[in-house]
Amino acid sequence: MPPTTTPRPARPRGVTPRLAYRPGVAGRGVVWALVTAVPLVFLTVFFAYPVASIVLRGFAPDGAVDLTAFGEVFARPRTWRIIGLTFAQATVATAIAVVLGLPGAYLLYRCDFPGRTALRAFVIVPFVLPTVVVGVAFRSVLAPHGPLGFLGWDGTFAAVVAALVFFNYAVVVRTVGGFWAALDPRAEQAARALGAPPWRAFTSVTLPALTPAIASAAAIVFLFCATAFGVVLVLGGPRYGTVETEIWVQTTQFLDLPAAAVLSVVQLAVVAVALVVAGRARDRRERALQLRSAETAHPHRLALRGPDRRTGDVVAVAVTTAVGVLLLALPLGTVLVRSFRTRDGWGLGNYVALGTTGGPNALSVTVWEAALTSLRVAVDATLVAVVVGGLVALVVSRRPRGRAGRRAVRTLDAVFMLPLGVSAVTVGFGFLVALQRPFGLDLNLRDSLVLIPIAQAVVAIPLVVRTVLPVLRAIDTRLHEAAAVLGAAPGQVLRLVDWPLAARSLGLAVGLAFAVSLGEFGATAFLARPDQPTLPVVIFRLIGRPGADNLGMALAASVVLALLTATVMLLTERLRAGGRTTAAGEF
Amino acid sequence: MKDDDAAQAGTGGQAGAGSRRGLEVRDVVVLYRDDDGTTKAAVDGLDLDVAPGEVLALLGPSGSGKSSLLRAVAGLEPVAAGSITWDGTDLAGVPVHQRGIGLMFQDGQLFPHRDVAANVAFGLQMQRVPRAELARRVAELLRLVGLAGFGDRDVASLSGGERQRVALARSLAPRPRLLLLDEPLSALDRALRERLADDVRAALRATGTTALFVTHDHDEAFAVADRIAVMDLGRLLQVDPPARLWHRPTSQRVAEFLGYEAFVPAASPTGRALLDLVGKQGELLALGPGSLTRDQGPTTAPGPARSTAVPSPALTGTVVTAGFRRGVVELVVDVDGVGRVTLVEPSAGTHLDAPAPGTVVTLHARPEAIAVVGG
Amino acid sequence: MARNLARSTTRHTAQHDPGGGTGSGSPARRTARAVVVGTATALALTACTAFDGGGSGNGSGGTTDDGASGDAPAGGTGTVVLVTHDSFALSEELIARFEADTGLTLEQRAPGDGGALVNQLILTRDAPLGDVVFGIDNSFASRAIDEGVLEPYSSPAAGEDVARYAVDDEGHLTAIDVGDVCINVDREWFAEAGLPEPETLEDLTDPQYRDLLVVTNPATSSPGLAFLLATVGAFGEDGWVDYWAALRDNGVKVAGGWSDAYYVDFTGPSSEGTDRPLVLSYASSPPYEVPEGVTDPADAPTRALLDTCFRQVEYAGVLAGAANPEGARQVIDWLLSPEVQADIPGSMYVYPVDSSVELPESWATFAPPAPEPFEVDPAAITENRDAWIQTWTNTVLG
Repeated sequence: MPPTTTPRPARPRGVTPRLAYRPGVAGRGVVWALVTAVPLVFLTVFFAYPVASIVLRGFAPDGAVDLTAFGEVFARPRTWRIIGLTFAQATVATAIAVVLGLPGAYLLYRCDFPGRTALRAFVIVPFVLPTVVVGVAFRSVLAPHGPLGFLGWDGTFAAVVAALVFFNYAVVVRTVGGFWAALDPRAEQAARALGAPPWRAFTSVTLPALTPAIASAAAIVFLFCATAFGVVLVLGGPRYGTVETEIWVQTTQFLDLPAAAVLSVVQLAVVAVALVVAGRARDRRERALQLRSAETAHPHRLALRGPDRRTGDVVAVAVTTAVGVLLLALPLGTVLVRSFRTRDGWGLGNYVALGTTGGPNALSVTVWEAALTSLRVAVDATLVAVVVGGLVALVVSRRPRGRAGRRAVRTLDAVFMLPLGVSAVTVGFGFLVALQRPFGLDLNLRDSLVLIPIAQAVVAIPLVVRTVLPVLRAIDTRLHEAAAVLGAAPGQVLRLVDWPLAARSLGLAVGLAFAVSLGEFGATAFLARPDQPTLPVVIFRLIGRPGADNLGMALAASVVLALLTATVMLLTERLRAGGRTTAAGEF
Repeated sequence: MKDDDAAQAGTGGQAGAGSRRGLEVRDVVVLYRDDDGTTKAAVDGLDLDVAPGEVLALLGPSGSGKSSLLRAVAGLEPVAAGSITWDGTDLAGVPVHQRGIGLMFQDGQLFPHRDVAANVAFGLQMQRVPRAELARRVAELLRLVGLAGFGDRDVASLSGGERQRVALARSLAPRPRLLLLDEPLSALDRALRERLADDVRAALRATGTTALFVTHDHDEAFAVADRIAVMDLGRLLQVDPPARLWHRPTSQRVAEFLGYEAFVPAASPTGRALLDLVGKQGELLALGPGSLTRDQGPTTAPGPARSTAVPSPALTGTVVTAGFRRGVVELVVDVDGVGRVTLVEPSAGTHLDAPAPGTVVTLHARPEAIAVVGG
Repeated sequence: MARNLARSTTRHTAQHDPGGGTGSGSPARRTARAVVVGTATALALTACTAFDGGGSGNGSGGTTDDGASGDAPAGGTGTVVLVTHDSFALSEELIARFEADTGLTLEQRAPGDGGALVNQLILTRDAPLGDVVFGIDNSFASRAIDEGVLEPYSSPAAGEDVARYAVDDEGHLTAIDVGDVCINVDREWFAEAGLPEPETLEDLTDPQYRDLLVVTNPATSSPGLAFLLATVGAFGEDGWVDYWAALRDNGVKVAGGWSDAYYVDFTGPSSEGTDRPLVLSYASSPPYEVPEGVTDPADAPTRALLDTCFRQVEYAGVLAGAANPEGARQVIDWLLSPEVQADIPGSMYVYPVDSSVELPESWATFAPPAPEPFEVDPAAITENRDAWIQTWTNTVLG
């Protein structure tokens, strides 16, 4: 018998399976239509319709469309300055967040050391803290008398950028880190074997491989930065304005709806561009994810000393420590330390006061009650966000055969990101204008209590999608096929293959949605019930009053909020750490 | 794996000889749509029969359309034209999960969230097999594939070969009436592949499973199949039992794919001489590795082939390259009137026993290792 | 959507006094309460007779005149929706008693504050957010009236003090409380520095107080706007710009919101700052900085400069198109009741409009209201607010 030639791995060229099961069964079409319709209807009713209503009100106050506002708004030099500042601030902050976040991603997702899980949970805390607290914390660090006062950053562009990086550092670390953890290290090892020094191997092999994740993270950070509000107002000083703050001022102070509408459109355009870029990057990323090899991507022990010392590790530790201490720990520590300072010196007095309504601060509820309200609302919001976001992820994770289908899926993906990039004021006012009789139906959603968790869910859904989708997409369609040929009906395939594989990322999504809901203070602020305040509302109320007692309680309540958040994130991290799959979401 | 285990596991294989007609593929066309929107026929009007209980290997180079055919049979790929029937019943419109056709993937596609036993049990669970029966079947199948006691292992901890064994057990568990194997061994290393090929055959035999086995490796096809279908460019070139295929390829293309290197027209002088030697009728002779041996003189240790070599007609050739491989010396010799043919000789223990390139050598033909194409 | 939208129009309207109680034990109060309860019950009875029973929540849309002493059975089930800011807070007992007395359920909504509140009322004019609004201040009062979001109502409970702050003659808005926005001074800092404390607006431009003052931005902060109005009231439409130019030249600092001005820049005892002993805050702020045991105002660590104040007046009004206008009127009457008026300083950090109501002890000592705050006509504010803010921005921020 002739000797065989070395076998080539034989994947059938050309015939790449794209759909898990044979299409064409009418019933299944109906099911998918329903699955798609639920999130679409949700987004339409609770986002698109309100936003369109308020924007239209700006352009057509009397029914007739009047676009002269565009000319007027763009004729103001202030408008251009604001757009420029928005771009500058978002771009610079994004760039810095990425540069600082990369070593963090490496350290927290590629290296193994004690306390890694706790650190991962810690970095997400800033993401959910109320800006008014962060503003005070940051300013106390940066003010002339603060520990970093010598920088002279107080009230400058630099302060805004620093705070934006503070908020969004976690986005980069988690997005890039999750991807990095799943990246096959052998390519870099090959480069080393070919004689590349470590930094060359990193820049020429690893960095390009990470590009999709970096671009994806950058786009999301850009979105957050471009729509940042409170932090700009508090830290930027009165001279700084962004499109977001300007929409707020025009809407709430001047009721100049045409101007606000124009700015909303500008914002939407900016957001759309960022989303297109993010979408492109993600496509590449998720394709790449399928190539990962689970067994080869084990985190290695940190090597900072001795003969095995890796310069990269040392740099990563140095940068991350600097960021951790200066950017994260200093402001957070300020909050923590000051929460123990009472009128009578140091102690737990502020925490004890959290259980009271009386005394000098006249909250209508205790802080614990508010925390309970927050938790309750967060449970509802999380439920909605995870169900709707999960459905979106499920639909978007399908790979239809037709081009039109694929385009539809991609559009759907982008559309559900929009809530991240549209002004909370626009959404909040939209709710009030549109939801009293939505679409002329006699269904008063505006005055309904369910609107609060729903408003938070709208913000959390994009993050849920971004967390679950990469995992669903990384599930090899042939796994579906394997189940199908073993006799599993489509529903069983979902239940027995997709569900258990995605469940852990769904756990992470639950944590994230929960955390976002706990901290959300945007559109919700327009729906608040004074008799049932949430934790951020109470914090806001407390820090708006003078005296050591109020400030102390506000800070203690912030610490409670931070701890709640960190705990939730820690729990979900553990959920994931125990999993068999290495697929990771973006956050 | 032991035969008694196999027999046990195989009892009641529904594929058995009870079905009279098995798989019939008629004029099937499977289209592939490229990303740019153009369509090509991956399978182009193909006919194929697999009898009940038969193991048929579908052999062809990468891109020949064999996987598309397999996927079409499984119901994973739409059929653009033609029909696929089982025992006379058209499978069109029958969803994948109701076809009762198993499919084993090249890379196993084990469910990462289930342990070994749960992977094997999946198909049985779909059939709502009672728990006790299910556990018994899983244990049997694991024994059948040589993985007894592996049930609670995490699939990520398995080696490549072990994974494919699990995949095989999983595919066999629901007793498919037809099992499709899509290059099940090609991701494994050579030694493992050869060993596993035998094991797969034994398992298929033991369970009496009707199987369609796709491969691009003829060794594998020969090791496993009752019949081999050679496929290229979406069509079948030849379907025959292994021996017949080997000795009587119907076309030069098939012969080339089987590994034959040189083709000599029967009408040429050398061809006539060789044809006489072989003693068959035909128009083209195909020579491959092992078809020729070298006259090495009395000092050389006799190789196994030497005894059967008929010392006529004498051929001469020039050594092009010499190499050592797997215990044998391989010489590529440019044979006058034939072309380049590989000679396989036992090694004397040093590389020096191979003649240097440029050496002119005298050769003898081994008639049983020369195929006659066509006829 | 921006996370953490912090509304920098920092207001602080809810605060409990550190020393005083609600004083519900005094005989005088009891009598007053009895009167109010009686009135409220009568009103409730009236409302109930008109209760249509088919309302979906806002359904006690009575149309009978108030004041009529009905004899229908008590215990209505209507709901009255109060639209307010999220700092609205009154003692739970007061709200419970109101509900018990009137048979109404008080539902609270807080869609925003300051400008946001008024603008939302305007936007939802066709389908009002509720029945009654509380929390429109004098800087947005005229706009609310002009836009027609309010129904006139003259409460029988309104006295002279309410009349004093009336925005118009029809009574679209009823004053409920007042708050004085004043410069606060860190007295300990001045004592240590050996500087005399400033007293007037003019003093603030004195070079010896250079770089000592921090205020907030009127475009984004409610006290900031109030202080701008104080200067308009003090120096007139012609003079205020020059005054701000002088302030600017004297190193005034502008913070984004009250919280960071007070807690970061100000040098006060509960703050961290080291170089701004003058801060824009409220006349009612000083009691909260007083250590326990201190009873003499001379020993208080901070005090408000009562000659620098602008008086913010918070109004309530019946919303046009209210589903339950009768309930709305009852809420306004209730807000003017002595009990609620007495509860206001402790709960909402402002002075009751009714000057006859006794202030908590610590307020009386450490937080007297300004005797003659600066005033600007609400109509003039509405007319000029945007232009003034623009001018201010150009002058101070450049």
